[in-house]
Amino acid sequence: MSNLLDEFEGIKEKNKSINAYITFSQLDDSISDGKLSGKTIAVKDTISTAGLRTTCASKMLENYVPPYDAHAVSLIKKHGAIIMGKANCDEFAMGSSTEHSAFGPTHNPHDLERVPGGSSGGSAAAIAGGLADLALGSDTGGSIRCPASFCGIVGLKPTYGLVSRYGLIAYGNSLEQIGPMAKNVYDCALLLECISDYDNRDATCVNTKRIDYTSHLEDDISGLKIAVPKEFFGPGTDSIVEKSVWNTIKKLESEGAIIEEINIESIKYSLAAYYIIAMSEASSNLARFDGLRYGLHSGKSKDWNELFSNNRKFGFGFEVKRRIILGTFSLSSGYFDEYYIKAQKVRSLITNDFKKVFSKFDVIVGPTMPTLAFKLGEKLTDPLSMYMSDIDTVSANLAGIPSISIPCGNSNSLPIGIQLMSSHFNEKTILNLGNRVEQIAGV
Amino acid sequence: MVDKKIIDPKKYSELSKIDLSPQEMEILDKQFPEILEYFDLLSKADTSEDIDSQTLSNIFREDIPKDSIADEILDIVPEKKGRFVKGPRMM
Repeated sequence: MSNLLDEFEGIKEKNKSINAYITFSQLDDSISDGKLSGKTIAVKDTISTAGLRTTCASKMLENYVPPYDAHAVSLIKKHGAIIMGKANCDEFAMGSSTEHSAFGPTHNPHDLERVPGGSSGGSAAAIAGGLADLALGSDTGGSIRCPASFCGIVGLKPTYGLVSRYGLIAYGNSLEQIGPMAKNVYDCALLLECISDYDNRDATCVNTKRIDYTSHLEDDISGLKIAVPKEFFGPGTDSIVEKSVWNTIKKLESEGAIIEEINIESIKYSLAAYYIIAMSEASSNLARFDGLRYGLHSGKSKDWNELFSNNRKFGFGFEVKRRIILGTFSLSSGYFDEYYIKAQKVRSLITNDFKKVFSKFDVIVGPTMPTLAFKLGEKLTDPLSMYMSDIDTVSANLAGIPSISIPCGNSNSLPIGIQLMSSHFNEKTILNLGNRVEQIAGV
Repeated sequence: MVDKKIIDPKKYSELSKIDLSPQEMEILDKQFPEILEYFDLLSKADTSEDIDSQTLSNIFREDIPKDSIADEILDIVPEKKGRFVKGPRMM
């Protein structure tokens, strides 16, 4: 532990160029027992930590100190992890690049002029930059997997309901999960074991049997049936990404996995369905930020309408405002059926299609992101282009299925991630296959 | 093609209780039609068949008082009177 205290100043110095952390913890020299004993961890700043500032990367919560721990945080403390600090992210988890933060963007440690991905970009960059062993992120539409892919680390979005959302400050509450991020599959599986404890304070947490994910990593993969949807290699996919992912798929085939290309037609609607549902939920979930009980309070005003509108004008960044307003529109009278209800019906279509695929196949495989990490500022003035980068990840959130990103290659030192998805509560299979990918990809 | 007139940032920002600057209003006025045109892709999806994609059940617990952190929560409230949160004028 005294080594860590010595290294802490170095970590803070290195953070100045990466900006992975918004707030650092006060470390002491105590070490606790547990599965995560001695391991350092970055916690995404949308996850509540008692006594440690939690900003959601927003001016709205710039000075907010939660009075309680998220369930996942109490679990990592119980298992002996050392919380280094609160990781930077897109404001209220709304973004794919960690550029929409009131505390400045995070830089990709592989190329400081590029984005780390988002919204859990600080969590991923902390690991990739050697500033933490592990991280907690959250994933509403790809926010763990995208930065894992861009930063060359492992990130898993659990099945909806496996990990308690108690203490996760909500953005899209029917879509999101807290999940583990790590340098390798073993550590990712270990962290998932620690945080996937049932919690009755989250009514959407499912009381199903939890397993030791680390015990199944070396299971034989021969005979595993892998589906590769053509829709995940759409027109916007970089050829280098496609080549790297297919190289890995071919290697899995040579190990005995059975590969088949398929079509899942409804995936083409997933991005539109996701954004309508997520923005609608955001409109509702962020209505609580009026400045009365917590958060930015802009001062006196003549009435409640002026006070709330002013607090939210100064508290929220532009991307958050854009999503709330679009969500309000989708839920409004006259448009509710055409947008929100339609999106939920399409969601059922997509979920059903995934169930049909998993009745014949064990895993679905494709690229995590259609491109390599893009340059800082490249997509900021074109929000639709930014939203399109989530095209391969959102369907897992709509269906609630588990999905992991594993590094499978790189191009000019920029990492490429392969995405593995499986049926509900089948994290064991994607961790097992992911472990094999890690061994054969040799990245 | 979505009718530009119906996507009025002013109307929906007022409904959202967010005061937008004139510059923000102008940017959203340009961006909203393109975004909503993309969302209109969903009109091509055939959702005529009823699909029950998952079994949902309500979760309840017994109404038994437990320890709370009400005091710690009240400590954060910027303006209060006793244990009441002080709010703005309603009218």
